[in-house]
Amino acid sequence: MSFLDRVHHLPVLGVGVSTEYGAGDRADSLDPVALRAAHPGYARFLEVGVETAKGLDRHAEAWAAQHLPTTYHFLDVNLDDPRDVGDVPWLAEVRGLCERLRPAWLCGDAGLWHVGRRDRGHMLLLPPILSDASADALADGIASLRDATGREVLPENPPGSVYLGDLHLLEFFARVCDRADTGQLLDVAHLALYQRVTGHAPFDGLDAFPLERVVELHVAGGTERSHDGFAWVEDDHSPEPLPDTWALAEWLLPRCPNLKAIVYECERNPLSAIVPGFQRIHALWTART
Amino acid sequence: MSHAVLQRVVVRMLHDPRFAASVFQHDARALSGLDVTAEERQWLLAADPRAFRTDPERGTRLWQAACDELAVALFVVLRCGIAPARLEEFCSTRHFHDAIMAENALVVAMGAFLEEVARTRGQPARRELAVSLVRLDTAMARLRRRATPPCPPGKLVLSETALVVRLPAGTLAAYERVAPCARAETLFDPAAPLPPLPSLEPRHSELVLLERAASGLRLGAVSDALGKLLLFCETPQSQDAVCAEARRLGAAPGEDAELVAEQRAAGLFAWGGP
Repeated sequence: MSFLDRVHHLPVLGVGVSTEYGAGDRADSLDPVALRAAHPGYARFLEVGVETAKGLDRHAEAWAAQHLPTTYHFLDVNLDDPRDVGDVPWLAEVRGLCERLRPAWLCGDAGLWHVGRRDRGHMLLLPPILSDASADALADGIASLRDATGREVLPENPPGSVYLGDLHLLEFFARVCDRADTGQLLDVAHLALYQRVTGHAPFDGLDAFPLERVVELHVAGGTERSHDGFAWVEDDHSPEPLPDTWALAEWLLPRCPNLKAIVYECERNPLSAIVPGFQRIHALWTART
Repeated sequence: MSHAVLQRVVVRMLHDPRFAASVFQHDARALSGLDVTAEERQWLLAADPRAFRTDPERGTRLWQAACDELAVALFVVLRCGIAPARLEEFCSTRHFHDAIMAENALVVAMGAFLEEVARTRGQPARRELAVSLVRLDTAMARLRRRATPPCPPGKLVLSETALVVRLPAGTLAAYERVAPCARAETLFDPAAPLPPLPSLEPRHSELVLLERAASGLRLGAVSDALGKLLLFCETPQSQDAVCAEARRLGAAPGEDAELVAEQRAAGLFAWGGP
């Protein structure tokens, strides 16, 4: 069965929130369970960022204990490296965590999380080389991880300040999705910063992207910075998304027929700072449905 | 797979501004010998050099990540005349660049860098101590990552859960004194001094056995004979060869096979199968 058939079996999750190990422990950070209690429509599901070496923190455990919907966002696999994807002990840990979280799918940045063997503390995250050979390697890894876990694996376009290769980011991920026969987690904040640092207009490349493969969107705040006159955006998940990010989200939401979920990545902010962002995203989602 | 090599070059450029500058200045040495195509080189050179300098804290974060594993090494090196700013040099050294290209563990490369710094720039009075403690901490980092060594059928090899290091006599005792002081909050605190330490005896050595268990790493001194026997088995050996070595090291005939069996039972030897 092709992905465009399989996608109809994926659940519609709606608006969700993300977390990763320890993100909610600061006094002024977001507590996903409390967010859901206060605003159920803003936290229909939790996207759990996972390094298997760390496991789940108390917030993710509390969510999972209530059997609430989740997605599994990996933070520790280089999908283009067969050694990484085929690491038997790691796969056993992933399967164990999937049993606890029962995620609707696996997803995560399809970039370089670490150099060489998976190692603790060396979270790096760089975008892939945007070339045909790199797309092939990535697609192989996605298909392999899907086979190994029995769950859909959605690549996400990573953030960065340096992008190398002869393909536009969207052309690259269109090839990856086609060759892996999978769907896309399109991070519109990452897309906006890619377009900016590479000199493209915000919507460049979208006309040729297979929007029917977009299953999930990410929206997040960023901070505009400059270094020696080089303008770039720090993907810091601050509360306020940049105008380009909003524009992309608003354009994409009604045009992605298989969209199942949208995440507002704002895990290290207090509830009061993020309510306006959730209100806007929730309104966009409601208007779409 | 040249895109993977190109990725590693990018990692080096992001961490080492001097290396990045050499690439952009077309220094032939910068990319010599690397499996990178002409087209990929052009992609690199077409990038904005400033884009590689947007995150100057990358090197600092490497040390933050390594603090728990190299705590004793850092604690003593920073108290033998080495300024914390020296640590920033790591990303410009062959230790860093070689580790990235060979995909070796960075924390082990950082240990090798600390050893070199202590050996060449440490206060002479504390140099031997610093070097020895760095070597022990680095060996522990190596053991945490040690993979099952290849072992042909019929042979024995030192197991992946064990390592033996030879250090100046007194190192283990010094390590046990320093370790409780070397905590994240004290590493960079100049008010936290080295505790009183026993003197090392550089003319004498001790063999330290490191073992990896579910509860963590264990350290202990071993007899010279046992330590040498374990070192002998760092490369695969036949049972007969191990017994012969045990006899050469002082085991009585008959005790040699018993000794080998004991070490296998203790998990120190892996067996390649019949």
